[in-house]
Amino acid sequence: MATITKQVIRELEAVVGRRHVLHHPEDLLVFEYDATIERALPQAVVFPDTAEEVSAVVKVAGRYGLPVIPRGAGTGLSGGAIAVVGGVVVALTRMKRILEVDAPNRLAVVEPGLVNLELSKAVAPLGLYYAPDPSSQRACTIGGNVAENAGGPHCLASGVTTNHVLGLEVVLANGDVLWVGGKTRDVPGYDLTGLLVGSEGTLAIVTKVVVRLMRLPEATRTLLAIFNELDEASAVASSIIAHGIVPAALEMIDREVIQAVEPALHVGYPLDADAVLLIELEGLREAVVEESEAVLNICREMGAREVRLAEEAAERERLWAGRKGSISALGRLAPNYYVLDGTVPRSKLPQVLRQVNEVGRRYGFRIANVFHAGDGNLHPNILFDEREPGVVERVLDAGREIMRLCVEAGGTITGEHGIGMEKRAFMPWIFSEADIAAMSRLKAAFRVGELFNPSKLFPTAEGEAHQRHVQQATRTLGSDAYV
Amino acid sequence: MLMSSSNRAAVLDLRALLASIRSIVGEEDVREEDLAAYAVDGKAPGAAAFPRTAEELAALLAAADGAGAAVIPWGSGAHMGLGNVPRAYDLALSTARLDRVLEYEPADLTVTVEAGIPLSRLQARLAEHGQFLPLDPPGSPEATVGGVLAANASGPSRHAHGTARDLLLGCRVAHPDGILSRGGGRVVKNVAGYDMPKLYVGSLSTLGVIVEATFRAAPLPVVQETLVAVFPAGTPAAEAGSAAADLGLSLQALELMDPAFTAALLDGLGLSLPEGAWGLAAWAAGSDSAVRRSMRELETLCRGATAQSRLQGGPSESLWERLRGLMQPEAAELATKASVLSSDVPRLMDSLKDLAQRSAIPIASVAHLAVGVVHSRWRLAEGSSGLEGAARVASQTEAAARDLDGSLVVEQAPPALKEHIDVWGSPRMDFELVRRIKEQFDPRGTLSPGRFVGRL
Repeated sequence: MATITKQVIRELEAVVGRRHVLHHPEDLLVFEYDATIERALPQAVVFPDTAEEVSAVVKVAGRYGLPVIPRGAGTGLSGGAIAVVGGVVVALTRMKRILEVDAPNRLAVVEPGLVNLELSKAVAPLGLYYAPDPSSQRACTIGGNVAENAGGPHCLASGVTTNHVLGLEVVLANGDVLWVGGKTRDVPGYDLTGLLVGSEGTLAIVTKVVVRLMRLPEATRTLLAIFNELDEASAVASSIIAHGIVPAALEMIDREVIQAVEPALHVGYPLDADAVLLIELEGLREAVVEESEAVLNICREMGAREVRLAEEAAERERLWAGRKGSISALGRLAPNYYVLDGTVPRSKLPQVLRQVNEVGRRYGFRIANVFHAGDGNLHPNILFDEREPGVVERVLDAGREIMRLCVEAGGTITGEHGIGMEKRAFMPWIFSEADIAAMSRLKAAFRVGELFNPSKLFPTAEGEAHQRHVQQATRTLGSDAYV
Repeated sequence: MLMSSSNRAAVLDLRALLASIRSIVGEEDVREEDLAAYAVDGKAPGAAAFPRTAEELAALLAAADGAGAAVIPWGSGAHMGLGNVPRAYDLALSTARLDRVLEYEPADLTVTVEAGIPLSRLQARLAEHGQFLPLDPPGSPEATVGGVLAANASGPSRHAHGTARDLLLGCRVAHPDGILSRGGGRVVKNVAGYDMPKLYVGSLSTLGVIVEATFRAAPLPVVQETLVAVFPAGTPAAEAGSAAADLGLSLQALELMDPAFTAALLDGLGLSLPEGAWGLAAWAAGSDSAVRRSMRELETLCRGATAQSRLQGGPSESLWERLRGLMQPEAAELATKASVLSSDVPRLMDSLKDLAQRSAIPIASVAHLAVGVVHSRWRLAEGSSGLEGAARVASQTEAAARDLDGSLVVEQAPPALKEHIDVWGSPRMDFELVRRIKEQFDPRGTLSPGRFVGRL
C-alpha cells in the first residue's frame, strides 16, 4: 500500500479546501465499510464539489500512485465502495444538485451525490418520477445506482438503472472530463453510457447524469396474496408472468420475514402464512382494474387462501411498509444476517426456493426470503449469531452454495447488488477466461490501470477471497441495510 | 500504427487464405463467384464464406485476421447501407447458416437464438406462444437478428419498448483472434461484470461478430388499434402527439409525418388530404379497456385534425407494415436519421423541409415523436449535380441537428456521396475512447475497416 504523505494531503486540500479532506484515522473510520461485511481503511477521504475538482483529485492521486475509490452513500451491498488496498475515497455527497429538469422531454440532469428519492420528490409536482427504486432509495445516491446498475421492486415493468440513463459526464483516469451519450438517443459511436452503467467505479468517475423521468401512473392497485404453502406463492409469481401480465412490482415475503415484520410493524401480514406476494399494478385506470382482476383469478385458482386489494394510498403504503421495513426487522429474529443476491429464470423459482431452504436446514441456519419474485431476483437472508465460534465461515459456505444453485438453475450471481469485492471468486462460475478477457480489453481501453477502485469486479482465486472474507467479517449487516 | 491499411499485409494472398478457409469449412461453404450480392457500397469481396457453427465462424475470422484480410460480417444484407465506404473488403462472412432457436422458455419470456436467424422467423416462433420481440426495424423480413443488433436498427415500437440495448440480455461474440466470448446472461436481471452486450449493439461488427443473442420477449398485446389523423399544419399535429405522450396512454408507437410521408402512407386510405397536410399515427396496444380508453383520448386530442381514421385488427397492422416500408430508402436515395429532443422534433422537421425546398430535393420525413428520432428520405437527382446537392444537404442536415444539440447519421447514400462525408457526422468528444476500444478488440483493423465512426 502506497503511503500517504503530508505533501499529498496538502495537495488534496489545495484542490477541495481543507475542511473537505479527512485523513485522521478516527475520521476515516466511518468510511471503512459499506453495507456488506467487508471493511478496509482508506488513507484519505475527499469531498469534491465539481467535476473539475474530481479531475484535479484524480490527477493528484494518479501522480502518487494512490487508488481512487468513488463513493456515494455507502449503502452498497457488494463492497464496491471499500478501499480494499487503501487509497483516496472520493465521496461525491456534496455534488447533489439537480441541475436541470426538462419536463416536456421527461429528463433531468443531476449530480451523482443526489439521493435517489430526492429526485422523485423534486419532480413529483410535475407529475413525473425517476423509476429505479432500490429499497435504500431514501439514502442511496444516483451515482451509486449508476455504478452498480441498481434495481428495485418497481424495476420489473420499467427496467433497471441502465434503461433510465441517457448520458454521463465522467472523469477519466488521466483527469480528462468528457460526456458520453447525452440528452438525445442513438448517439453515434459505441454505447459508452451503457458500458459505464454497472462498471462499479472501475472505469471512470461519474460527475453528471442525464436520467429519463417517467410519468406518474394515473392509477395504482396493490394486492396482497396470502399463501399456506411457499411453493404455491412462487408458482403464482411465475404464472402471472407466464400469463403475459407484467405488474409494476411483484415481491415475495416468506414466513421467516413475516415473523420478523408483523410483530414490529403490524402491517397485516398473517403470522400463520407460509408466504405472501405483494403485487402492484400501475397504469391507466381501466387497465389496472382489468389486470388486477386477472391477477386475482390466478392467485385464487392456484391456492391463495386470501387476496386483499388496496386501492387507497394509505392502505397501499401500509402493505409496502412491511416490505420496505423487512430487512431492518430481521434483527428481531437473529443478531446478524447476511443478505444474498442472485437471479434465476422465473420458471425455476419454486425449485430454487426449495433448494435454498434445504441449504439452510443442512447448515442449521434459518433463511429469510424477501425478494423481487417477478424477475426471479432472489434475496435469501441467512440468519445467525456472530458470537457463535466459526459461524461466519459457515454462513459464507452456505451463501456460496446458494449462489451455486442460482448458477446451476441457469441464473446469475448478482441481479442488482454487483460483484464488488464480495463475489469476485464466483465470476468464473458464469464467465470463461475468454469472457473475462473481453472485459479486460474494455478496461484497458480506459487506461485506468489500478487507479480506479482496484480489486473489484474481476475474478480472484476462490480460496483467497474466501479467506479474506473470514478474516474481515468482523462486522455484519446492520439496520442500515436494504435490498 | 493502428488500423491504417498499411497495417494489413501489403498484398493479401487470397489463394492461401481460401485454402485455409477450406480446411475449416467444406468446399461448398465457400464461394468465389457471383459475389455482387455481397457488395458493400459497390465493392464486392474476393470471397464469401458460410460457416455452419459459431466455432467455424470464429476460426474463419481468425484465419482472415492472420492473413491480413478485411472481413465484413453479413446477415441478409438488409442494413448494409449503413456505414462509411469500407477501406478494404476481402471476405464476406455470412451468418446465414447460424439460424437456429437455441433455447426458448415461454414461461420465462426469454429466448436465445443464433445470430443468422431472420427476425421475422423469430417473431413467428414467439407468436406461437403469444409473445413477440418488440423490435420492428423497417426493411426486409429477411433481416437477421445479428444484423439488426449490429446496426442497432429500430422502428416505431421503440416508443414503448426501447431499442435493442434494452431488450438484449446476453450475447456470444466471435473475436478476430478466433476466441468466442459471452457477455450478459440468460436471465432478465443481471449485473455481473461489465455489461458487454451494450458494447456490441450498434457497433456495426467492428469489434467482433455476434453469433448468438438472448432477448427478453414481451406478451403480444391482446388488442391493437391505430388512429391516423391529418392536420392542416405540423404544429397542431405535433401538439396533439405530445399531449398523447404526456397522458401516459397505452401506446406502442407515435409517429409524426411530414406532408410527403403522410400522402404516401395515406394514399388509398380514403382520407381527404388537403395540400400540405401533416399526419399523426398512434398505435394503441394492450388490454381491451386500455386500448378503448386510449383511442377515446386520442380522438379528443386530434379534434383539430381535418380528418381522422380509426383502424382495427388487421388493417391496423398493415398500416404499420406500410409505414415501416416507407421508411426504407431506395438504393439511389439519401436516408438520414436525426436525433434531437422530442420537443425539438417539429422545429427540425420544418428546417429539413425548408432545406429540401431550397435544394429542390424532395424529402419525406417521419419521426418517432416521443423519443426525438427523425427519419428522412431524400430523392436525389441523377448525375453529379445531384451528388453536390446531396453533399450539401447532408452537411446542412447535420448542422441543423447539431444546432439543436442533437446528432445525425446518414443511414444510406450513394457510394460516390459517401466518399465525401463521414456518415456518422463529425467525431464527438468521446472519440478517443471509441478509437481505443476498437484498437483493443480489433488491433489489425480486420473487421469492417473504415465503416464506423471516424472511419475506424
